Amino acid sequence: MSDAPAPDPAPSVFQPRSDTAFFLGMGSLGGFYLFLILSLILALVIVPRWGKSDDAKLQLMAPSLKEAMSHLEDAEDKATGAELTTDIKSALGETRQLAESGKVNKVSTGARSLANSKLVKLLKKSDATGIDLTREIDLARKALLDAAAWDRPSDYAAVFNDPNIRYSAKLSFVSCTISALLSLWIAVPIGYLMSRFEFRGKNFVDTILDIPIVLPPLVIGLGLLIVFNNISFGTMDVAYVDSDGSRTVVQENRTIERMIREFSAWFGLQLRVTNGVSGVILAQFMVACAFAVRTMRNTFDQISPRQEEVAMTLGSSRGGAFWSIVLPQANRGVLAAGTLAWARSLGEFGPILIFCGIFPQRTEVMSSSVYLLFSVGEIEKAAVVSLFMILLAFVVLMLIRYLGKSHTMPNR
Amino acid sequence: MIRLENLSLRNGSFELDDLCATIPAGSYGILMGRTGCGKTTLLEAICGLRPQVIGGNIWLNNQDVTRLKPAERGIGYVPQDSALFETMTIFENVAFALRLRGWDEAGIKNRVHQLADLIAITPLLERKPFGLSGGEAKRVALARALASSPGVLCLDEPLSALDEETHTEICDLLTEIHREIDVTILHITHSRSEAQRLGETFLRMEDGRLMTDD
Repeated sequence: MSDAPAPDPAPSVFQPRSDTAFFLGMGSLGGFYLFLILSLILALVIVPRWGKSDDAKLQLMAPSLKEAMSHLEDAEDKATGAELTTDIKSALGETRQLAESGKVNKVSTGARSLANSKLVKLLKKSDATGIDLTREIDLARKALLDAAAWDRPSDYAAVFNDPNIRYSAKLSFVSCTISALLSLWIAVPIGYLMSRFEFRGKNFVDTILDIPIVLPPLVIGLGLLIVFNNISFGTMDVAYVDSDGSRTVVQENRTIERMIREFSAWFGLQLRVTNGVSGVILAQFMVACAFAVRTMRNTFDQISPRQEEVAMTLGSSRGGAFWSIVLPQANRGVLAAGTLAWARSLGEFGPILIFCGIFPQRTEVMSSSVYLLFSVGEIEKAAVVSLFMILLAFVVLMLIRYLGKSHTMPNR
Repeated sequence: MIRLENLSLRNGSFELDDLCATIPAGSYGILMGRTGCGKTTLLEAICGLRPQVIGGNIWLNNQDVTRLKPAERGIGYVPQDSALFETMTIFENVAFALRLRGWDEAGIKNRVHQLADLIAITPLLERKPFGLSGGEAKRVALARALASSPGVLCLDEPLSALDEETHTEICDLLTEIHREIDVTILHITHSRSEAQRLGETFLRMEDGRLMTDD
């Protein structure tokens, strides 16, 4: 009979949904990516060969030496000419001596010289006498070279002792630092202008500033190459000095590259951009700067213009307000932009390849080294260089992060 | 003295036309009006900031400043959010205008401590703005604006977003400043009680027009 409303549910019954699934989902997705990165690094650590101890090397060499001896014995059986037999016997004796010597160095050099000179002579002799020992002697040579091949330095030692790679590491470090500083030098003013002022065609300028980000880096290299070498302003005479000292004068196009060389020659310099170190820096800078500009613009957008305005009412010029008020607040952004530019430059490869080529000890940077080593099948050494790049990047990024923490927010 | 002669302003797409008003020298002027009616735009124009003057003149202390840079106008500006210089200590904030004017270190120290005493911020001088309360930040902004003895002080809603007690304190402080220092003040507010308590000359902005109340 009564129309009593349904009683309210007891308030204590309500349970908000658990957050476990949310965090598990997030964590597993993030963890997956982290796992991918770590496995990548781990792979680079595993692939290069570490150097082996002398005992291990000797143990690895022994079977090959034994094999070489058995092939030489076969040859001895086959050979009938007295002179040939003595030669084979002496080679056999030498191999046996090597196997018993117990010195890695001796085995590898001895086996190599045996395979590359003595056995080759023997083969010629056997051909002359008309006995076919080609198969046996070839197999013996191969076995000896296999034995010698066990004596090699670790990939790490090979890479770090390679003067070309040492140079490329140095060049990478120096050129990345210079191009990051250049990028900041350009990006801070552009970022400030784009953030603070409205002008006609701002959207157009904004889009142009983004082009290096969107464009494949390769195309930037191509563009640079064309600008410096394919656009000419008339012709000029270029003198070439031959190896015998005679001069040949050739008429060539007056390209920008030519003009730079001409200009630098007045100061006794041989500056070259294409195929030169300055070209490497320019190629890195072209891409890195666009990222730095973006970062700086975002940084300045986040700083309210109010403080500058107050500074100006207090008697400061706009430039003064920029130096004393804005830039000190933007220091984290400057660090971030510099880091980004540096990291981009370290990874740059395409434009450098096109614009500067890979000239060892001139334009070879670390990413080019990796490519060179990979292209000749030295995957292990390429991995070593990659690892070194990771290490370098890691140290620099951590350092900058640390500096950023300790100097930017002293009172927070 | 602040005098506006047929002033027309543009700030983005917002426009104000034909504004006329006078605040006599040494007077406490109050500018009232609804939110969004253009009070701040007018104040910023007087300071020489973003708004573009498209007609008329602004006179400050018998000088036509319409075409002058903010730095040349001799004004003190306290924006609504105080906008203290985050990377500097409170001392450096207050000393900013003095350093620009090339004061020597002893003079700066003297002046900053004198102002800090008046405005009661002496204990804060070595701190940085981060973590100051709204009232403290407002006091510092006032000290900073007054440091170089400007002829005109522009206050953009200095008493908004303060709790009641601080509100009263800052109100008293403004009264004291007006009494102690010879400065023409333009104070923006939308609180009638504030206006009645502090003001001497009253301006009201309504529908894009500026009117003088008595």
